[in-house]
Amino acid sequence: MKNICLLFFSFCCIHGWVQAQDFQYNFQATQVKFSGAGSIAILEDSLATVYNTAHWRNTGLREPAGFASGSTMNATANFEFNCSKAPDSISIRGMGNDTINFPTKTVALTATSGIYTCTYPASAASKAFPAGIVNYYAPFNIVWQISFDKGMSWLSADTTDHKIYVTKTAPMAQTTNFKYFHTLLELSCKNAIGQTTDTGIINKCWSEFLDHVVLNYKGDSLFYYKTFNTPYTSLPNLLRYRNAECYTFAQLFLSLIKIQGVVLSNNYVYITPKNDSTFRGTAKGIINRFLVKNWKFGSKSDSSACPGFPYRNTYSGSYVTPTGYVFTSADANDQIGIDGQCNPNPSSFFNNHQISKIGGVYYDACYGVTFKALTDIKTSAFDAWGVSFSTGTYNFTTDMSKTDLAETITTF
Amino acid sequence: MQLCFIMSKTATGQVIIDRKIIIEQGQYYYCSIDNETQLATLHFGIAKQKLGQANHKLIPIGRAIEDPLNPLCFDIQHNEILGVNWILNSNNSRHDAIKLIKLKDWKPKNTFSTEKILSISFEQNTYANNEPWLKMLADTNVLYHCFFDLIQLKQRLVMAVCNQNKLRISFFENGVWSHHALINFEPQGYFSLVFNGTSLGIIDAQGNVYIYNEQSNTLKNVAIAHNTDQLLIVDKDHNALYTINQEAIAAAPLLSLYTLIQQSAQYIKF
Repeated sequence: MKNICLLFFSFCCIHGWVQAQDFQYNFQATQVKFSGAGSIAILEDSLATVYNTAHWRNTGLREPAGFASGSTMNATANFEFNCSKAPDSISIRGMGNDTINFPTKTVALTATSGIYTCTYPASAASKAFPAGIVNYYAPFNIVWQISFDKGMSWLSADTTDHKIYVTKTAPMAQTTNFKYFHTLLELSCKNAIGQTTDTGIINKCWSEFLDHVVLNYKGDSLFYYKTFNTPYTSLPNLLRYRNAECYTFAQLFLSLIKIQGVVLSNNYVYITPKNDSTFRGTAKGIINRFLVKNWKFGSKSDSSACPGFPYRNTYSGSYVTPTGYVFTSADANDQIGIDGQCNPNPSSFFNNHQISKIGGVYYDACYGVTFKALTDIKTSAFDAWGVSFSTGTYNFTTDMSKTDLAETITTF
Repeated sequence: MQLCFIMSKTATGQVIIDRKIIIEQGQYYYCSIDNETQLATLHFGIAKQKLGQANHKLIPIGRAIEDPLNPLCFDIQHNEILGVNWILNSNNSRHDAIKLIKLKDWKPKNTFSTEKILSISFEQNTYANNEPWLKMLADTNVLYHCFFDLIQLKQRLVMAVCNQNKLRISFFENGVWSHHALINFEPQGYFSLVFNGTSLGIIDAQGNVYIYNEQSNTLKNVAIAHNTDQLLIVDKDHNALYTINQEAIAAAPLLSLYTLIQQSAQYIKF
């Protein structure tokens, strides 16, 4: 046994290859798993199932790990190497980022057909993630070291790379539409890295929406109305289909905050025109549509019968198709307008819209804009109000003083 | 996305029934909800025949998938379904959400896409303006523990909306709404309006049964039907009301609903 250990003293290491004058041992990690009281069970976006295998495998598998700040992660790892003759046990330790290290453990070796394997047992890191601060390790590298002389000398054996998210505090409880999706942790921790305050986290998470490019953890676009008639209105469906309505982007923004454990109430706002009545001759209608910029207005086909809402569009069946609006006749026509997320020309003919409200400020994540007051929305973002007096017809006015928006507030 | 019958199911493939089963004129009806499109599928069959022989078809109405859960609000009368189309969609108006669908006339084509059915659901004529909802919003626009339901009593539509533990019962008759004053009410989860032939009542998700006195506009807690989240069976033919487990229905495809009621349902007297 001593002879073998002496041989190892002269080894040097190059990416897992431990070499001697006449010997070469491929010492490599095969699997790493993390756990711990503060761990977050992350869900894969499209499958909505928890990553539950390993976090790292030498076959190429990489799955993220998440922890609340202040918690200490445990790691367990498996290794293998080939050798004609090996000791009964070796010592292993791991050196991670920010001196978050894994302590020395002496582990037994098991031999099978010249391949030796060992397991580094679940062990707590040398220190916790600093409390109260968001962190984002991409990657978190662990340099695994081995010793054949009970820790007298150490050799670097292999390095494993990991994606680790650290939230400010434990995420809020999961609900039907808020779950610990991979993309939420990716966007939230990447944007809010280093933040220690709720305000800082909110501002940094909001910055994700400013350039109109929101990508999932794979780098794929999350589209606001990739198709004009997308039926998807929940965050899980946005992440699964990457094509969804306004509801989902408001939910996404608030979820980036909730995943950090920041508690906000009365933050989810449904806006729709106030139910003001108007008349076209004897027909009564309720103003219940609005057009988001930009629309081009032509002739006023209904200026005599309905001077208050002179622009008239007619349609048969449905006016919404996957690629745009189709009217039988149209005084108002959709144009390229305000950029939405990953889409320069999203849908723009609505009954209602969803935004977020924090500290009295309205955040419209679909377009990456904020408003100080509800009335600012109609004046800066809308082109017209709409009303239907009969099936297959909408009348419009560009007089935005005709009505206002009403808000219904809930907590997401 | 072509029309297909994607119904809410448990991990074991069991269809999840929303809120209640209605028996009327010897037929039973219940609805399940597609968790992605929010559209309802109506299941129906003969109450004395095997449950496994149920038919189903997608209908242009549905409800939101959100917390807290408010199951589909609907009632069946004379082969018509009256319901609240509470699908979350930027083109669905809550003001226009109360819809009446004549089931014999509703024949969805296999070529219809989900988007087409959704569009039909928003554009179909409104049965009555959703004044009870607007009335609630006039009281407060902050929703907290907000639940609602409706039932049809012959020519009279009854709707109840509860928000922040304040309940208002409204009646729609001859084209006009009348709204009663707010009363204190703390439902345990969502609630359902029920009628036993003579009295209007409310059963919440935990089985607390209340009888409503229209004259005095008061609620009185009269019974506890069950302790867990269960389905209602509303037998309009016999003015009888029951609760039953979801699982009991799934486990009995060879039984008729009448037999299942005898074997597994709990009668609610109020």
